[in-house]
Amino acid sequence: MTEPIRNNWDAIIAGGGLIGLAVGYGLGRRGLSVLVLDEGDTALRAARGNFGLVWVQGKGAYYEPYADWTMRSSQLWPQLADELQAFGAPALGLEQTGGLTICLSEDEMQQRQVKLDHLRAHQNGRFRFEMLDRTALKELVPGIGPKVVGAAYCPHDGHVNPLFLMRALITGIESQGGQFCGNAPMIGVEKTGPDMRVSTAAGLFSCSRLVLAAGLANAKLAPMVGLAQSLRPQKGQVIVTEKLDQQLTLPTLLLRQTAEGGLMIGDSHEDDTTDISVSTDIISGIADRALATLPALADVSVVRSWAALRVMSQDGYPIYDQSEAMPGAFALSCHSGVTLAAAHAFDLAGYIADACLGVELNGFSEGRFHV
Amino acid sequence: MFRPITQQPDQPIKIQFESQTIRAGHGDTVAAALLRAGILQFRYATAQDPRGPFCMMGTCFDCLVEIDGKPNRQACQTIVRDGMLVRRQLAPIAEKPDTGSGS
Amino acid sequence: MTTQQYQVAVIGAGPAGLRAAITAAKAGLTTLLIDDQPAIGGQIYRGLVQNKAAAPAYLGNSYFAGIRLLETFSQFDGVYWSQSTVWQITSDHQIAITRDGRAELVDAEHIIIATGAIERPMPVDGWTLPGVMTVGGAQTLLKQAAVGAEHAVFVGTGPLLYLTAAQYIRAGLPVRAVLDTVGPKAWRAAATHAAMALMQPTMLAKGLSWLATIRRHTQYVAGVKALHISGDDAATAISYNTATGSRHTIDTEHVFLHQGVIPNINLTMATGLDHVWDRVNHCWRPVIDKTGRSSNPAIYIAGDGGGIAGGAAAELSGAVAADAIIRRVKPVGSSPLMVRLGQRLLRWQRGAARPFLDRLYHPDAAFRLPSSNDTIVCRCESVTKRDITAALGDAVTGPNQLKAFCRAGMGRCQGRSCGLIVQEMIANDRQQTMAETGYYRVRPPVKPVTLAELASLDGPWPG
Repeated sequence: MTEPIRNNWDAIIAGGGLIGLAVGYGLGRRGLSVLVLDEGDTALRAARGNFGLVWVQGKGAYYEPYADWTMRSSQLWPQLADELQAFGAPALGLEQTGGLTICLSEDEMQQRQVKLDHLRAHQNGRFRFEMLDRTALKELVPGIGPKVVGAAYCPHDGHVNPLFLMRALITGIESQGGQFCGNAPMIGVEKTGPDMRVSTAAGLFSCSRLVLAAGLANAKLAPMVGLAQSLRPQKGQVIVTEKLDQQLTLPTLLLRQTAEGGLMIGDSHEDDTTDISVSTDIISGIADRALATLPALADVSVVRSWAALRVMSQDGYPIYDQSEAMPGAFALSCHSGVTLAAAHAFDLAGYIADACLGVELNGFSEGRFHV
Repeated sequence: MFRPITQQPDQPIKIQFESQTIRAGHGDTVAAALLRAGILQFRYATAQDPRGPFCMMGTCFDCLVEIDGKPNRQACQTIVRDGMLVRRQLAPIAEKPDTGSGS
Repeated sequence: MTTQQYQVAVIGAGPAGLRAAITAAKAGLTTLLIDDQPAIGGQIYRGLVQNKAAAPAYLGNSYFAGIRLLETFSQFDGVYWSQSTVWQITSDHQIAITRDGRAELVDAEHIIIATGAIERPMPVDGWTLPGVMTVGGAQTLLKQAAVGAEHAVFVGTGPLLYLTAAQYIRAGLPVRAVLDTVGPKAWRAAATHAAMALMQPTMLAKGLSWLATIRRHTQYVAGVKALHISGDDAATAISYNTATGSRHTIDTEHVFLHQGVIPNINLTMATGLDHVWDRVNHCWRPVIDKTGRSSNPAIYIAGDGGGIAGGAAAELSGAVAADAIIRRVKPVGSSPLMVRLGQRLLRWQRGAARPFLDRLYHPDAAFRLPSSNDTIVCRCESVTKRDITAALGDAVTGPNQLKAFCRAGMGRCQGRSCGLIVQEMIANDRQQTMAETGYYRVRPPVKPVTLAELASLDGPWPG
């Protein structure tokens, strides 16, 4: 394993996934020295199992703070992309020209409409969407199948390459003088005066800011700093096709075309399992729905598949907490690491640098489950 | 150039490759038929990156051609059929994908 | 949608799979043999079914020795599905297969995976140019279609290289040169195992006769280095340094590469079976006991897929695996003595000449890794050595992180062409062992399957 270059850091991030990296990058922007601690190559890594949507529609329809936070991140994303591209990482491919949720029945259309109406109502005109019938949808997606009833279109939605995002954030952190240490997950922490000392397989490191962003492992780490994060895994499976000529100009919730040309198709929501193997019946169902959406894809080959565990809180919204027992320690988790990357890099990192989470994040404390 | 070992191989089957008619024997793979006819470039991974059969056993995926309208079929795993229409498989995206090194 | 149920399903119709299927069916077990080719024979006996009529002499005796096995198979009364591709084995050992444009699931109490070996990747500069093939590929073309190239250059090392060059020469195809990447020093090192090797005189005699044919009919250069294949739209020449350092170029349109074979582990890894890094043979292989049983008690591995040992050992291991399953299904009436003899013979066969040959043909690091920055490493995604080097860093703890950062390993072949190369590049970068570095996480479908084929399995919409 790589030996970290020194023992004292301004900030230590436990977890090299999208949350940890975005916050780490943001802290580096604020001039803090950052060490990221990560597990090994075959760790669970929800960050490598991300669909890549920068998605606004529907988020927080029944929880205003989440709608606000999502919209904020969506608006900051272009700035994050520009900054990261300047470090010379491969093209992130950020596109924010709208997105679609395809509906295969009148029921689906209605449910979607109700949800988005609700979201629009509390967003004071900031959130826009449109329900498209078949005719209108066919103009955007000419190959739409006969079973498709319509779609919900939202101009705020978009997508990006989530793996290149991860690489770009690491490049950013390293360019700022930070360091990434793999095969060295956090083992424990103790308070040493105003600072904290973190123990890992690679040695002991001290810091004044400790960010726990280890995904499902946060459930185990948070109590070490006097916090709690009740998290559960939710499995999702995705299939990826060979590269194709352009089939879609907009991402949809379950089907998007990457910049390289392959189609990513999802998904599933399976609770009560930590098994990340791919199951035949699930991916068969995913293929079925893809063909209902775009029948012309019948002879397109699926070249790989994967499964990952979403990091889910009880209500599905993020958990951001600061420790009182160990001031300077924070525990963060969410399942939308791509959409929220910009808010994490700019706003959340800023709060952490200032050692105080802003009031706008009060709705994301774990305490909301114990009212 | 690939050539048949025997002087007069039995080739009753005719397939079409782009504008060429190619003869083949029963049980020939599309790859064997094309190679025997002097065709080496089966596909273009990018506009500057031509490929042809490499492993002849279905593990390299470099012999991909379009067969009867279906894209990306492995020529070495497909047996010829009389009247088959074969075309080169062109890259959907002409430029090499960005893999981050500026190359 | 499950179709039929079998007591044994055998995947792969090479010598191991054929003997396994024959043995299981003969003992009265309901047996299914699945193979992706139109005819049985696997790699070693490719085209034998159609060749036994025409019987070209240049293919040699060991090839035609396979006819005995084909004839035994003609008595097989199990079910044989040809042109059927296995793309997944589920955790409760159902087999997902595509045939005739449809996917189906087969329930098997026991599975014998006999998918054999693949060529070890040899990333020579220019290896992706049309006209460049593996030696195995050139041999398949010869066996299956009686097609060969004139004035080809054979490059690399290993018995298959010499055999195929000799077959080419005997078939009347002039060979331009045979460039051996193993030098005189390695021959001497290997000779320390010569005593054991001499217990298998036929294997060595064969090798020496191929080499004699080659030396009589073409240019043979040992100890070559710094290989480079040039060309634009196709290969036009190969350059090399001799052992003494002088550089030469040979004009040719066909370069055939080979540096040994390795177990084909994509299906076994995608099935979640335990694997181990074999340091001596520099490859991954599944963890199996002496009967071929894997870490999943219902799944056995037979043939080169469990460790490279050649055709004769493969056939025997197929019988041994089938025997083990027969004893589990029908404990009464089996013959433990015969079974033990079979296992002992297998151990001897694997043990005798292999150490000599393995030492001799152990590929040198120089030929396992790309030399020029422009050399493509991941053929499917056109990822070069330069691309990979740029992605390496503290965050790339293994091949899966690397895959995420530069797409190497994301293509159709799922690492068959680049996996070992990438693993070694990372191991060197991080100064860790190959075992520590690990491999791509291989997932189904192990071979591509179309959306229509996949949807035809009629799974419920997940929601």
